[in-house]
Amino acid sequence: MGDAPGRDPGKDAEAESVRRMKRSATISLVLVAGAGAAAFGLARLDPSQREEDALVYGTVGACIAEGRRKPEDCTAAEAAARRAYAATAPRYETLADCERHHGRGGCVPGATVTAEAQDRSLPAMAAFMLGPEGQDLPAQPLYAHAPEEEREAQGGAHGGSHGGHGLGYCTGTGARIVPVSGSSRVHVPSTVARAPATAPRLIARGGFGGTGRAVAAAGGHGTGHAGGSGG
Amino acid sequence: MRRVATPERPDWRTHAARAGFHFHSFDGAPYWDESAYYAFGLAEIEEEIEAPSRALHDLCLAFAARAVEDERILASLRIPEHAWDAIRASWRRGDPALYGRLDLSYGGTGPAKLLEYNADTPTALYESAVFQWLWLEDGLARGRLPAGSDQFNALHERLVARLAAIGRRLGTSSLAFASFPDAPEDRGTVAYLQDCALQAGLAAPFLPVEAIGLDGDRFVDEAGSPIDALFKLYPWEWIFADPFGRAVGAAPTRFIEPPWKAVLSNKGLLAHLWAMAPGHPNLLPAYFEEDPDKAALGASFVKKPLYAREGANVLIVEDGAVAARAEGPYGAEGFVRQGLAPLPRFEGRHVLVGSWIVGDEPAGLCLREADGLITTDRARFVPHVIDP
Repeated sequence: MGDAPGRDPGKDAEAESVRRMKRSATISLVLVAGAGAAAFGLARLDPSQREEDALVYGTVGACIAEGRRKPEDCTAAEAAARRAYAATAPRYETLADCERHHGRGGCVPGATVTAEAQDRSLPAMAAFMLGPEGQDLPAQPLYAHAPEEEREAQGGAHGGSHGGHGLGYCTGTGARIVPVSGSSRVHVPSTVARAPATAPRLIARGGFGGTGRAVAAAGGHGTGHAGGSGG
Repeated sequence: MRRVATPERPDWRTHAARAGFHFHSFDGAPYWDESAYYAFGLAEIEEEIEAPSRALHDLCLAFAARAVEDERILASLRIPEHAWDAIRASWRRGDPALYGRLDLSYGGTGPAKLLEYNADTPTALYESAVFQWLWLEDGLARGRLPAGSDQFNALHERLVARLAAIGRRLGTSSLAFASFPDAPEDRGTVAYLQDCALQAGLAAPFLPVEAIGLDGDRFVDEAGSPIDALFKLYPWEWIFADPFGRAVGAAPTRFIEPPWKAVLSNKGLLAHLWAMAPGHPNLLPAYFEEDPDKAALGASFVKKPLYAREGANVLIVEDGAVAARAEGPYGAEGFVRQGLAPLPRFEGRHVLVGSWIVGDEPAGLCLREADGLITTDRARFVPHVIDP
């Protein structure tokens, strides 16, 4: 079978004088018996990535008022981000798909941004990100990051129509940007800070599950307990 | 192998609730049934179930190696052509498998016979690995079972170890788990595997199967983050028929079970195994319905759809008369015809032996009893012991 799914080593080599038990020595359940499956919510972490400092502002005015960058730099960065926004904002097939990720009121009809995105739904540009003085990072548009299930996990208090500050932002490549409360400074992985989206993502959903639902509907009993997939 | 009737524990439902076993009944009837248990001798377990299971699984791997490279075999299994590259690539890469369940006809007399291999989306896992084990320990502690009784059930330990090995093999620290969220048995099975994955040191988020997104050529979760590795309790034949099925081959996501399992979780496997190893003591003769050689089976046989689960659309013919038939939505892709090995009867119940494989090793048993000849989703799970 070549290198395909290899046999696990680890068969007990030790000679045992007593009869070998055929069952697990211990069983522990962390979640099934405890809080239930709803307790999941683990963030992806990649410690190998280097980080950069960057600045995030909701408006040009906020950028100028803070004074970390010169007013003309703020204006230029916002304009660059807005140009990139039209060309690279994620495209969703429906408003509902878009709002599921970016929150209620977080999306606009594509036609209002660019003719090319007609019939699509785009997240509104909620903020822009630029490098600190002396650091040459490309300006990027940011979008409210407010996926439905994360909003629920936070009690539904954030990520509504005011831009998703509770859960932060995401870039056009889908990376999370989480500002510290009350600060414009963020730490961003280098790959995210230096490689903004260059083409829009078209995100489709619902392409799995239809066949199973159809079989369950046709079969009633006989497709597994309560219309499942198992056997 | 004996069936031992025994009073059920009056408080077993409390034990079930405490252990997170919420699908112990189905439509008001018990699914977990501890009013009896099966008792095996150690030699029966090791020589007549465990060793043949290992041999059958090895034979299946040998078949998979051949099938993924042979388009005639893939076509005979009615696997759509657009899926062939994904299946072949997953085998050549050595994408690791987690588990499967061989269903055997075995009653303590004569060799176990393979009825089918649930190699892709088997359930009954949690109750096999955990609740059956707790029943044994509780029975030993209360003196309800003979001291020194054991059980063929290393599932929990093997699942945790295998998931850790899969994480290392795939170079990932996260394995997402997808199923229909509203099918309690599926969700319960997946919740248990998530638990095992956590104990194996992996992050294990749940994802409703319909919430999976496709972003370019990458599958993404609800937040839009790429899914590196995905366990799916949703069969490959349905994936391949879904709109996203065509994206599997180019996507960097690694699936558990891997696409190559599609050649095993298909009743056409039975005909191919018989052709590879005719006369194998643990195989029944089997032929595709279109194969004139099926006449060799005579007037007693079982007709099974290539794709089906829980006994649906199975037809049993005995001496030329229909002995049993199960309704269901399957059969459009064709059928195989298999020699008849009626399930052994103990006190009027037909029992089916499920032999679990984790990674590539036999890891435990589950026994399900049915009133009729066909084991459907109405079957009851009955625990077992190995005699001291």
